[in-house]
Amino acid sequence: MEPRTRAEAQQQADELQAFARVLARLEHEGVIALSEEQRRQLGDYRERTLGALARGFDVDRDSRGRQLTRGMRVASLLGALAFGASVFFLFHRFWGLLAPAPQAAILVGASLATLALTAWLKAIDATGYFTRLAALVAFACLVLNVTMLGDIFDITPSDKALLVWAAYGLLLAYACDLRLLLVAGLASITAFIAARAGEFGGLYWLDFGERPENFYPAALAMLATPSLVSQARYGGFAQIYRVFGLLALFLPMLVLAHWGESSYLGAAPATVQHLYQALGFVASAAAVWLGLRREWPEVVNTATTFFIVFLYTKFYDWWWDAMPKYLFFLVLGLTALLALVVLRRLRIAVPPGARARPPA
Amino acid sequence: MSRLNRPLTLAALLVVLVNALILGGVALNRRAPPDATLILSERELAPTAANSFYFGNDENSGLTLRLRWAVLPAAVAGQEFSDPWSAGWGPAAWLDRKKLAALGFDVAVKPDERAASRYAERMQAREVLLVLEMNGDAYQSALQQIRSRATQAAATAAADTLDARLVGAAQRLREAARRLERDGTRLYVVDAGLDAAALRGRYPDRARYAIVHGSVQPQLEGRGAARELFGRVADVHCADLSVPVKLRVPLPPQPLRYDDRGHPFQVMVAFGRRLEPWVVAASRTAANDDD
Repeated sequence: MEPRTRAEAQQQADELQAFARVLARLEHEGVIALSEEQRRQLGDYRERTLGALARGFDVDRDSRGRQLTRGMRVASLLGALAFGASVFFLFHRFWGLLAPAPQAAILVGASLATLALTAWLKAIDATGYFTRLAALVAFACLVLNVTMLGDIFDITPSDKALLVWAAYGLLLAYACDLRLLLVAGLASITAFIAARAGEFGGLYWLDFGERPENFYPAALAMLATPSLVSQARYGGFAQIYRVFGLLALFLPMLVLAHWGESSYLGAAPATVQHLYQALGFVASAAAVWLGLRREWPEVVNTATTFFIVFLYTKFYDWWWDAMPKYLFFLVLGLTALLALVVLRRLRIAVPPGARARPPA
Repeated sequence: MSRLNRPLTLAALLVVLVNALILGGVALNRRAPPDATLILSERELAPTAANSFYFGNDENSGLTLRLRWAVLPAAVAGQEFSDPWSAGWGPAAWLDRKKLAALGFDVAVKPDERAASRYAERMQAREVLLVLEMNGDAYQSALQQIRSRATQAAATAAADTLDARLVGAAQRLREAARRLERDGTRLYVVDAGLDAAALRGRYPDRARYAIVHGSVQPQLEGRGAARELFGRVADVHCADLSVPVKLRVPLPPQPLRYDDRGHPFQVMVAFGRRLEPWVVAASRTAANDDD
């Protein structure tokens, strides 16, 4: 099957390498014996396929290549951050010397120029590292473009800027298969939806964080997206949607479980806190179950973390003052052991048929 | 347009569209005639001292001046008169229960302690339109109040010159009155509403009153039976004014400091059709030598 993304290509390359290692071990142990001709054909096939994958997707052919790739990713990220900061400071260094019209022209020009650079690099850069770096700088330029025009022309702050950043971040993320920009886009759209939810509830948009429930519409939208719109062509995108969706669901729940005053619900703060404590346990346990069933490890890990956080904060409320500290931490340790046992049992209990779902 | 390039093409369209909308909005706001034009001085325009990055240094060549505004403080039972310099953070005299109700706030708060505390926790700021008054009745009233208190305190201290506390209080009030008279901002937030046309109808003088976007928040003042519901002006939006390079010549050399009175200046600020301000003109004025 022809790979569609670099992640798929890398997976095929890894499978080929793993197959070669298993074959060598089986031959060594005498389980299987290949003829010279068969061995040569397999070797040719592997080299041919790996070569094609390396040319088309710049996959890593061995562990050394993988380490170098990680290094290149880090360098690309740091480079993008540094370039973004450089653009920001460069503009601030000279903007006061220019009239508003040239200021605006430079800001708009920088946004368009970095986008054009991204498009050009995308056409010639097989590795994708330089394209991603340019895409991150393009995103920084648009953020600077919108905020600085607001400053230069004294424009009333608006949550619509968040929508623009979200749209731009998501477009660049999908164009360049860039997870970091997907995160930036999702953070922006989460803030925008929360701001709109807050406005609907009578808040000034910048105060949307005062009511954690404002984040729930965005959380549900992010959790539903990979199921409604296939992300199979983009490596790791579905996982990011799910993790961000869970963060937008559980973090407000955690806040409300300890700060009931900030809820939209009209009940007494203590009642609200108890409600969200219970919801936190039920929702995180349900997410663990769903993650195991659908084979979404990122969901299992995130939900387990929150389940334990909910549990530990409850333990703290109940026993921190009442127990000697050695006993308190012993109880925490025993609880972690219990969680391990339960998760192990759940893993065994999940029917094999449930694991064979196609990835979103 | 190939499928591969579609997101980048859309991104380019987005950049063009967003900038067109922003700049179109600016052009619309600045279309003559402006909604109001105020002449402000160094008393009403202060450097953003808290953040030196945003106020002229080697790394930032821009110049931004921040509107300094105040409100006439509410006379809350059991509390001393507040200094209007810092009254922007306290309850406003005109932002009472009736006004808050007119702005759409829920003002049905029960007098008992628990309900009041819960109410205070739940009430958040809301976006409204605010009326800025330059050198008008609010400033004169603040000045009169503090002068009257200073005179009263001086008389009390004169009757008992051995009481250092009374003498100190009288001195502090005299100094506060002097500060307000000579250095204090004359720009006061005097009203709020939801309809710009209705507010302009009430405040027709466009050289003294400007309408701006801002936010207000209810708060309970006082204790027990004397508890009263007031509102505070939480924020005046667009309070940072960017000064174009051609208008910076008459302004003092950077960096200005909050208490820098050696370089008095006047700035004409216009408020446009979208109620967003911009600097129209700037000039240097003679230094005040009364110090």
